[in-house]
Amino acid sequence: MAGRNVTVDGPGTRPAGEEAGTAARLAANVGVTLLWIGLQLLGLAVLLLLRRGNFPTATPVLVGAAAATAAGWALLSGGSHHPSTVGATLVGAARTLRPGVVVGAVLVTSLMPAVTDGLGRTSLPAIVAGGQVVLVAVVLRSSAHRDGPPSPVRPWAPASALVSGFLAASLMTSAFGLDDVYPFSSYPMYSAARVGEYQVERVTFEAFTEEGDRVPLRRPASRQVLRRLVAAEDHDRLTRMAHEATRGRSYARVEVATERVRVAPYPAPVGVEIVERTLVIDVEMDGGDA
Amino acid sequence: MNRWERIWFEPGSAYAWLLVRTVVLSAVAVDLWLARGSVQRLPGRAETIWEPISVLAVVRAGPPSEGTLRTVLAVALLAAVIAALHVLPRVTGVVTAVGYGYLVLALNSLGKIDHDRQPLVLMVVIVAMAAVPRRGAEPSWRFRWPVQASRATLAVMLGAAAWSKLTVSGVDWVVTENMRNILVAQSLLFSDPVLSDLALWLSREPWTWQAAAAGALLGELALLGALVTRRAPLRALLVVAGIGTVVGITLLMGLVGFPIVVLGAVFVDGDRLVRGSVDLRARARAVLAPVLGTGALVVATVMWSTRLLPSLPALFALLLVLATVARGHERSGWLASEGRAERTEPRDRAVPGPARR
Repeated sequence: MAGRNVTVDGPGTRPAGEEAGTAARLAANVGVTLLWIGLQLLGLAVLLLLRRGNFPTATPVLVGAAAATAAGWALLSGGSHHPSTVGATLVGAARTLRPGVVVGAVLVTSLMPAVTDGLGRTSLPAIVAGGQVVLVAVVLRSSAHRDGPPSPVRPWAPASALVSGFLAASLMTSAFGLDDVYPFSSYPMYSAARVGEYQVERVTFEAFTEEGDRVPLRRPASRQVLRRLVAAEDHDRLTRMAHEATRGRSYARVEVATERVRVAPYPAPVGVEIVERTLVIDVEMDGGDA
Repeated sequence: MNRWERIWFEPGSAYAWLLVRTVVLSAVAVDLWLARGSVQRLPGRAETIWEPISVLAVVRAGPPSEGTLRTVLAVALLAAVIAALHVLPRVTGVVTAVGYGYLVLALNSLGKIDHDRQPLVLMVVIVAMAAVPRRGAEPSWRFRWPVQASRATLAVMLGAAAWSKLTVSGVDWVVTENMRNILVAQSLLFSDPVLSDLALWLSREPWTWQAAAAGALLGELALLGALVTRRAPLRALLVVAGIGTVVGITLLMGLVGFPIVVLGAVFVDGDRLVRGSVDLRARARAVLAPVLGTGALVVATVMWSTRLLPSLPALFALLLVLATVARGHERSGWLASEGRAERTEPRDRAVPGPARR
């Protein structure tokens, strides 16, 4: 970073000097690398989605790429997010760019099998290489035509990158309604309007004592999981869940059933009624020892 | 400072961050205590379904053994309590984040993702990464960004939920019988909300359920506004609207609940509370951190056991008391907490001074 004088203004910030220069260089290197990786992955993912439709790792790749891009931008801007500071950081930053490009190329190449999932192995290296050349050309052209003070690196630049990455990942998840990449989600629960007549299908667990008394049990898993098991006719797992639902209490048997329940439509009085009940499996409890 | 920097990195007091940190860690401790049964049942359930998510999927982790779970639960719970009491805060904060994160991921690897803990997981990660409030620390950006980031986790979650509703259903979510069907199903089929009678009353007439739907949608967006606005009355209004919506969903639908409702406390403006409080005797000052930790722990527990409603005012009353105690510390230099406005530098020199570490 010879010739790159980094000044940090404001009271109490570190004075310009070797230490600040090192921090600025590090921030710029990491920023360029993250930005490069993020943009490359975004481009690759979009290309794959357009050409091949969805692929298994699309969601984490898109979310991660958005986070990396935003974090890289934040670091390049010295924590301020202002485009002019990014440009100022890139002035004379060819040396900064080189390690970023090398590290990024290695990372992307190593990640490619996971990204492509066996698709388009021959064309993708060309896309990666082409994207890399274009990015270098754009940055160098930008460097050649810009003239201004170098960007100050705020002490909060790493925290700014972290926050930016989080917000970008959240935005990407929501904007495109992507699947969950924990802890990111588009939170789609209850987003589909229940219009018209509303019917709910649920799986119930009911125990019966030796005397024939009926005891409703708490469901042992989420509604979605239970519906999935019923649809797959996975009676082994449902039997195990029936045992778990008894929580060690003694019963003669447990009925696992599906119920379709209807919410009475307006203007009828508020209420629900069971439309249909289907027995899925009747589990004998071996004398009640669960 | 531009707008981005003012929102996230304007100097904030160590006290405000301590307050948020304590709420987060005590919520983790309570959540771990409440989830101990689910954790112990996890190995049995994992035999039926084990679909690891997130980091567990990347490392292809198998279902944890009973011994592993008990150990992680005990260590994480102990670390969370100690961290909430502000003892060895750095180490215990990191241990809490790792242990709690692992348990939450494991609990979510049983075929369905439960979104209720997502903000808390993100907040405890922030706790592990951010600076620890220290004796004599001056207001700094180090104490501002973790507070704002913690608020953002909750605001983004609710905002994203509103966005999903708008993009998936549009105005149908409000103007159709959607909310009626939700309220009736939640009250009579799925859960037993505290105010189920009120929920069923709202389901009787179109204007009431449509108003409830519109209010829920707007309320979910309110905290995003509270995150960026600096006008105190508007911010207070938005915070009340946002937290009120979460409380309303909890009481009327039996959804959300703990820990998200408790986490609404991170929107309390700690700096403002300190400025508005009075001094106390010096001998009370030494116990600030333990009082904060145990107080938040007790309040969070009470909020759960009483099904939230009666204890919400208690939480804010306690925060006021803690702020009063903290005022003594502020004057003694334990936690410097001058208002941000007084310390804002001229426009072109707004970077804060170095924190005395």
